[in-house]
Amino acid sequence: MPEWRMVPEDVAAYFQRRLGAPGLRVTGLTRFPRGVSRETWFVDAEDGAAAAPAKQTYVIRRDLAGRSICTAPLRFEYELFHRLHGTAVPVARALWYEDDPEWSLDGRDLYVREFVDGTWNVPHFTDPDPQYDDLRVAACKEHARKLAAIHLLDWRTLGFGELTDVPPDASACALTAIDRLERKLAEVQIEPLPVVAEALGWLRDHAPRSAPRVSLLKGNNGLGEEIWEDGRIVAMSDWELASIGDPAYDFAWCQAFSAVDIKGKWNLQSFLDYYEEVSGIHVEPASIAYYKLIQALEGAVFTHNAAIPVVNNENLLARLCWVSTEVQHTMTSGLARGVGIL
Amino acid sequence: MRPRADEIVRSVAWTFDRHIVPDLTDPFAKSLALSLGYLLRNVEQRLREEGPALWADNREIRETLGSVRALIKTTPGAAEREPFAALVAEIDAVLARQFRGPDDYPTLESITDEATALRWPLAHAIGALRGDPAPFEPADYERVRGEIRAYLKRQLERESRHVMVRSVAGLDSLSGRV
Repeated sequence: MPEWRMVPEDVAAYFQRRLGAPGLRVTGLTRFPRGVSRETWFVDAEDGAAAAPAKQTYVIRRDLAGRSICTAPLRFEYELFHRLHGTAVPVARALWYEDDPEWSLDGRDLYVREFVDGTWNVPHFTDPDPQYDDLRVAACKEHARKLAAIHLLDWRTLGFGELTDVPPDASACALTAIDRLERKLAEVQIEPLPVVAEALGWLRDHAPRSAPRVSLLKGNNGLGEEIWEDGRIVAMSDWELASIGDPAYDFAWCQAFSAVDIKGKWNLQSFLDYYEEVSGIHVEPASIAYYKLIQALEGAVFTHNAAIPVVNNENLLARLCWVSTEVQHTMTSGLARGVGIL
Repeated sequence: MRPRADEIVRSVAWTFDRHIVPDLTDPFAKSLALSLGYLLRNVEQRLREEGPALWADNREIRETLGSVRALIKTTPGAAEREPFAALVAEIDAVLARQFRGPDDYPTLESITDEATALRWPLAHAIGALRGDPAPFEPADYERVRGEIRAYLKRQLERESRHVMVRSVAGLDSLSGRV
């Protein structure tokens, strides 16, 4: 069998065989331009009579050439989507995971999920005009409801404990996260990171010993990380940094929604109060501040990992150079500020 | 020869932004072009500033490692117990290593290798001292820990000057790059 590549003809042949649909045609193949962790491709497919074909869009996710720069494997991400489908957490349905070398495209594992129509952006969210204040608050509330759905999920029954490290109890959430990241760094480290070494000690010394509960965490979340339609999140996306631990960590990761500050109307505390109202989970701002440093640690590990494909000549995508230098420095500097070095 | 390498890279970035990027239509190509625009500025800065920064850094880290070594050697019993015995051996080995001959030009590659070699024992020293402060006099221990943290501050500040792109007229903010 010839080596299959990520081009419309080969993708069509792959889907024909995988779906048992010999008449399937690929009418569009687009690479999603955003993101650095993995490749996302949109496949527009048609099947059946040319006059009235059945149309379907699929999403292909796979690692970058050479290796993943994520701290968790592609299979982990697939399993998250697979197990979350049908729960209170809206996600695209994962259809299958492909690890058969004969079937893969460019020799890489991939998984396929259904496409969910919508947009990553919330129109006018960042427009400072006060006429959009209510829209901003509504979006924050919607996101809080979805975070609550994730954090209240019975992750044990769904088998998430088989996929990642599980804190033995709520008091160990922060230390479990540090252990996981320190272990990952040791696996991938190609040069010394003295600032990270210093920060690891500080983070252990200052780890909060209480958490409101042990929850499934999304990791990357907030504006730009979910799929919205008509003011609602219709699918939560970007699960590659998911873990199990203190819900405060998701607020540390939250993009844009936790930063909304409308005088006399809404701020971070309002966001947390609303989240508590819908979830019953109380999150302290001090915990979020601590977990922002864990986030920076995770970023430092992730961005350090991005240097390896370039150094080893496995993948010379220039964006990896940017991630592993400037973004890495940003993460390390954030850690340094947090632990009092800068 | 003029233009120098950094001036050529600046010229390439200028040309790329004005004559290549506007003609790009594919969203992925446009997104990568933003990354390339930043990276070209990054390389321009590094060409000018990384060598002197690492040169200064290597001199300072040697002093810091010397202080760590002295702390361990002057504390009764510390140099005989792990992890400090292994740490002293590691520090001695790296401080004795020649990274270039006395008359050799200090290439960026040799300075970078030197920095990498010197930072490993520092990272190990940080872990060892944090993990087991007991053998040391508190004042001596805090002084050396303070020296380490002061070195880390200066190292990050120097790195910031050549790693962080300072001005890119007409390009988007950090969040717009991906």
